[in-house]
Amino acid sequence: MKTLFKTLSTVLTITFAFTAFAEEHNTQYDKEIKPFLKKYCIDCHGGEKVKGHVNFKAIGNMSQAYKKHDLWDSVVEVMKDQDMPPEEEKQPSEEEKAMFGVWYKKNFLDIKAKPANAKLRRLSTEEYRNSLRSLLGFDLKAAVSDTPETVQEHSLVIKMMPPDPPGESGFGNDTSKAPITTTLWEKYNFLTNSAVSNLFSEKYKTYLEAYTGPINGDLTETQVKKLVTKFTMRAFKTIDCNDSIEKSFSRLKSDLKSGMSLRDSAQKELKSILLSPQFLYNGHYDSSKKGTQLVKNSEYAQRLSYFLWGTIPDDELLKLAQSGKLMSKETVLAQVDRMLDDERSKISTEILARQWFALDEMKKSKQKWPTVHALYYQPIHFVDYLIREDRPLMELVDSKVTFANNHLNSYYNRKDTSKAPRQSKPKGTEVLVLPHYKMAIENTPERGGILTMPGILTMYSGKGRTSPILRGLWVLERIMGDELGEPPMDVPPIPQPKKGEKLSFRQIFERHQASKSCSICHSKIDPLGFGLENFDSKGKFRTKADSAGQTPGGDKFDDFPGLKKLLIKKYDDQIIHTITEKLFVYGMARGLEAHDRPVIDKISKKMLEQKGTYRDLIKEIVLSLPFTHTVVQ
Amino acid sequence: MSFKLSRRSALKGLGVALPLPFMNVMGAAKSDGASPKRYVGLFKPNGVHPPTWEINNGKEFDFELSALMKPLEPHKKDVLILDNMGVRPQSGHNGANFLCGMGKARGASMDQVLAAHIGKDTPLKSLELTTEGIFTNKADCSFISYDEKSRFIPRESDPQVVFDKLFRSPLSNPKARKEMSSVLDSVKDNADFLARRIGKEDKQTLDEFYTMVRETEKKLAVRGKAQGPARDVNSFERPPAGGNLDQQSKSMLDIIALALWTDSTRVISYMLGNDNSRLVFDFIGVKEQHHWLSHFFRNYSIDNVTKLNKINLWHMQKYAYLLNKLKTFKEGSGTLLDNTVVHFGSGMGHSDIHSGAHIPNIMAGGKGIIKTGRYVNHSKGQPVHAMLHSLLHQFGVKTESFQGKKETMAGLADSNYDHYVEKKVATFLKEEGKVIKLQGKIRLTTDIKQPRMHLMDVEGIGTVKILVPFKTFNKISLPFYCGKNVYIEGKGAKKGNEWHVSDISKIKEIDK
Repeated sequence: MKTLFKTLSTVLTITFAFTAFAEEHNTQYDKEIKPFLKKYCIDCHGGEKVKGHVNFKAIGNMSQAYKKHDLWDSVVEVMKDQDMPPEEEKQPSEEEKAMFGVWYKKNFLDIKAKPANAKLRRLSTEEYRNSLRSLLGFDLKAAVSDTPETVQEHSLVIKMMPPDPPGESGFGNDTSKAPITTTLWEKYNFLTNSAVSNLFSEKYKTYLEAYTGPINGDLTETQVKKLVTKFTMRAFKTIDCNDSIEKSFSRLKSDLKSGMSLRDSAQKELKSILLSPQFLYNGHYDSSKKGTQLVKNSEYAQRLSYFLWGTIPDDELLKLAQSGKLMSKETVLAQVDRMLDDERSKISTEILARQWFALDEMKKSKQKWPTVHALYYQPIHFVDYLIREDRPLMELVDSKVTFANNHLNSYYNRKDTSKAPRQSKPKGTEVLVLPHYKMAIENTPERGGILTMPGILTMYSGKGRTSPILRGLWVLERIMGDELGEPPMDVPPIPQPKKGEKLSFRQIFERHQASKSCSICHSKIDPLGFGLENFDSKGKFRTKADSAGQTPGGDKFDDFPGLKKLLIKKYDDQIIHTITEKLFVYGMARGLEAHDRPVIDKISKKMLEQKGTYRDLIKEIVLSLPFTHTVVQ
Repeated sequence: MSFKLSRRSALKGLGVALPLPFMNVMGAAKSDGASPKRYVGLFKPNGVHPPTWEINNGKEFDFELSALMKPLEPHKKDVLILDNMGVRPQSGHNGANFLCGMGKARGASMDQVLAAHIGKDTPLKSLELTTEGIFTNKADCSFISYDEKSRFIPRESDPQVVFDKLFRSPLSNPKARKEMSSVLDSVKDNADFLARRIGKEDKQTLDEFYTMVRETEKKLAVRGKAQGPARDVNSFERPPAGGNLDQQSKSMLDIIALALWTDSTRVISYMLGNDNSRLVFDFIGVKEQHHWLSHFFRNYSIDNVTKLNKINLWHMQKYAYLLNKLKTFKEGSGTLLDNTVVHFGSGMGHSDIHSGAHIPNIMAGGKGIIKTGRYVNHSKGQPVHAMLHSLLHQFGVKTESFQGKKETMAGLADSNYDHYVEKKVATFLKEEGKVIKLQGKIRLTTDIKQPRMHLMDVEGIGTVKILVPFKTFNKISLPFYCGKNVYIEGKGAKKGNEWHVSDISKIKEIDK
C-alpha cells in the first residue's frame, strides 16, 4: 500500500524525542519564567488586577503555558517595542529579556509539529442540521410563509437550537468549550422525533424507500433490517458499528414478540440512533492503541467531509474508508477535488465566510431585507468562488471579480453593471430578494477584493459616520491575523476637547492614542482603519477624504489605493499566513495549538513561494500531520 | 416538583422563542365541571376594502352581512359585529393596533392581560402564533402580542412544531413515555459501546452525555406516577410538513381548536400575516403581493380590487373555518365555541389611506361573555383600547385601566350604547335632457363577483344600478363615496323596470 505521509516519519521521531524534554522545560518555567513574570508583570496582570484579561497567575505550569502561545507572542512583542512594562515601572535587564527570549524561542518557535490529542467533538448546530439533512435526504424545515421582505429561519434545527458560540478557533465548529446541556439535549430529542415522524410520513415515503427499497403496504423485516443497518453506518459515520446494529436487531426481534408493529419498532430504533453519541459527536477513536498514530480511515473520512461539506461522509467516502484505501495521497487529492466540485461544499464555504469575516454583524442592520441580503451574500459568494474556482490566495484582497445584484449596482461603474442580466420586478411586487450574478470589475478601479465590499464597509458604521476603529480592528484581525484581545477594563475616558476647540475627525481619534494603555493597540488599529476613510458610512467611494494612515508595520500610505497596494506587495506573507491559519483551524474544528505552528508556517511559506491557490492550500492542510494523525493517550 | 413550566419564564431565560419539548400539556380537568373560558385573537393584515367590508343600513338585530362577511352567514347568530371602531383619521402599520388599540404598546396587550388571569392553571399560559417571518425594517409589523414591559412576544409559525410541543412530548402520556424509555435504553447501549473505546480524556464528555439521559429517565419516572391525560392525544393527527399558506393556516387553526379543547392553553393569538404582509396568494391565483394590492386606490384596477378581495375573502373563510371547527367539539351542554371568544380584527380600516376609523372587529362565541347575533354600530367612533378594556371586564378581569387608559365601551353584551342613526337626505332621480341627476346613498353591491356594481335606493324609483366604465370609476375614485350620501350627474337609461347609470360626470358628497 502506498502510504501517504512518508515524509512525516522523521517528524514523528522528533516528536517523541520532544516529550522527553518536557521535564526539563517544566523546571525552567518554574525556576526562571515564573519569577520573571512575578517581578515585572503580575502586579497588573494577575492576582488582584487582571488588566487586559491577561492573567499570568493562571498559568501555573509548563503544560498550561504551552496552550498560551499567542500570549507569549505578544509578551515578546511588547517587550521588544518597549510598550511593556510601562515606562514608569521597573524594566527587565537585557540579560533577563534574553533569557525570556531563549525560553520563548525554544518552546514556541523551534517547536516540532505534533498532532493533537484524540478527542470527541460535539457537532455544531450547523453540522447537526447538515448531517440530519444528509441522513434523511430532506431538510427539516420550519414552516413559515415566505415573503421577500421578512426574515425567516427555514431550518427547524437552526431555529430551535441555540447558536454555537465561536470556539477558541473563532469558528462555531470548535465546540470544545460548548458541552452538551439540558437545553441542547431537549432540542435533540424534539428534532429527532420530528425527523423520524416525517421520514415515516406519506410525504417522504421515497426517502424512506431510499433505505428500504420499494415499500408495498407494510414494511418487511428484511426492509427494516436494511434500513437500520444503513442508517446506523451513515449516522455513525463508520462501517465499524456492528455491535450497535446487532443490538438493534435483537431489540427489533423482542419488539415483534411483544406485538409491536415493525413500523413502530423501526421508528424507535432510528430515534435512538439519532440520539446516540456516535451521531452527535465526531472523532471516534480506539484507545486500545496508544500514542501518535495515523487516524483511522473512517475518522479521516469524517474529517474530510466535515471540513469540506460540513456533513457526514457520503457513500463513496465510506466505501473508500471501508476498503482502507482512502488514505493515499492520490486518493485524497482526487477526493478533495470531487468534494469541492460538488455543490455540497457551498454549505461549508458559506459557514467559513460568515464566521471568518463576522458577516452576521450585517444582519443587525435596520435596512430592508433585500438590501441586507445583497450585502450579506456578496462576500459569501466571493469566498465560495475563491475556493471552488481555485483562485490564488491573495485574490481575497485583490480581485477583479465580485458578485452583485440590482441592490448593489450603485457601488459599481455603470459599464460594469450594464453587462449583468436585467433584474426587474414583476407587477405587484414591491419588494424582491434578488439573486447575485458574477460581475467582472473592469471600470471601477476603487473596488475589488473583500475590503471594498459595501457590506463589509458599512457593517461597523453608525448613522452617517464611519468607525475607523472597528474597521481597522476588522482588517487587523480578520485579514492580517493580529489578535489583540479584549480592551482593558480600566479604559480612561478620551480627553474632552476644550471649550471652543474644534477637532477634526482624525484629531478626535488621535486623542484616543494619548494614553499609553490605549495607544498600545490603537496605534495599530486607528491608522489602519483610516485607510478605509475613502469609503463613507454607506460604503460609497469618496476621493475627498482624509484616508492617510500607516500599517502596524509602520508603512505609511496616502489613501486607500495606497493601503491596498501595500497589503498586496508587502504584507502578502502575513495575509497568506492568516488565510492558512483560518482554513486550518476551521478544517481541524479546534483552536490552534503550539505544535501546529510549524505546520502552518511551512504551509504558508510554500503557498507564498508557489503563489498557491485555495485548493492548493486545502490539499496541504488535509495532507498535513495534524489532519492525518492523532495522539491517543 | 412540578414540570409545568411557565412558557414565559423559559422565554425570559433564553430571550428567543424556543419550543419546550418536554412540556406536559395535559392539564388536569377542572373539578367543578364548569367549562373554562377562552380567547382567540385572529389578526388580519393590511386592513380592508371598505366598500366590500362595510354593512349598509344595519340595525342591531336586523342587518345584512357585507360581501366580505358572507362566509360568516352560517354563524350569523354567533357573531357580534362591531362597527365604528377607531377614532383616528390615520393608523399605521403597527401590530399593536389590534390587541393594544394603540399605535405603540403601553404595557401588555389584551390577550396577555387576560392570560395572566385565566391562563394560570393551564400548561401554557398563552400561545402566540403566526404565518410569517419578521419584518426587520419595522419589527412592530410582525407582532400583535406584547408583554407587560411592551416587549414583543416571540411567535411560532410551524404547525408541526406547535403540534409536537403540545401533543407529542415524550412525557405527555403513558404510550409516549414507554417508547421514550425504550429509546433511551438503546441510546445507553450505544453510549456504552463508545465508552469502551475512547480514552480517559473523553470520559467527562461522555459522562455529561449520560447525565442528560439519566435526567430524562428521572422525568419519565416522575411523570409515570401522575394522572393520565384527560384526552387521548395519540389519536390526534399530526399535521403534514410544509404546504402552502392555505394548508399551513388550516393546520394551525385545527391545532388551535385542539389546544383549546384539551385545555392546554386558554389564550391564543394568531396572525394570518404581518401587519404590512406581502404574502403572495398564488394558490388562489393572485401573484401580486398583498400589501401592494391593499393600496387599491393608487394601484387601482378592477382586476387588482378583485384580487385584493379574493385575499380579504380568504381571511374571512379562515375565520369561518375556525368557528366551524370549534362548533364540532362538544363541551358541557354546548360547544367549544360557546366557551371561546374568537376575536377577528385588523390594525386599520381603509387599507389605502391606512385609516384609523372603521377598523374591522368581529367577535364570535363566548356565551355569557359577549352577546352575539348583533351588529353594534356606535354613533361615534370608539377607541379600540376602550373596547378591549371592556372585553377584559366581560371576562371578569377587574382592571382599572388598560394601556394606561381608563375608558371602556358599552355594547359588548348590552344594547345600552349610543346607536348610530342614519342621516336621511331627500332622494331623487330626474332626467334633464341627456343628463341624469340623482341623489341618495351610494353603496357597493354585496355580490363579490360584481366588484364594479354600485347601487342607490331612490324613493319611488327603487334600486338604481350604477355600473360605470373603468376610466370613470378610477378617475372619480367611486369606492371612496360608498356608504355616503351623494349627488350624481351622469348618463343612464331605464331598462324594463330598472334604472341603470352607465357613466358619471359629476359626484359630490352632500351630508357634510
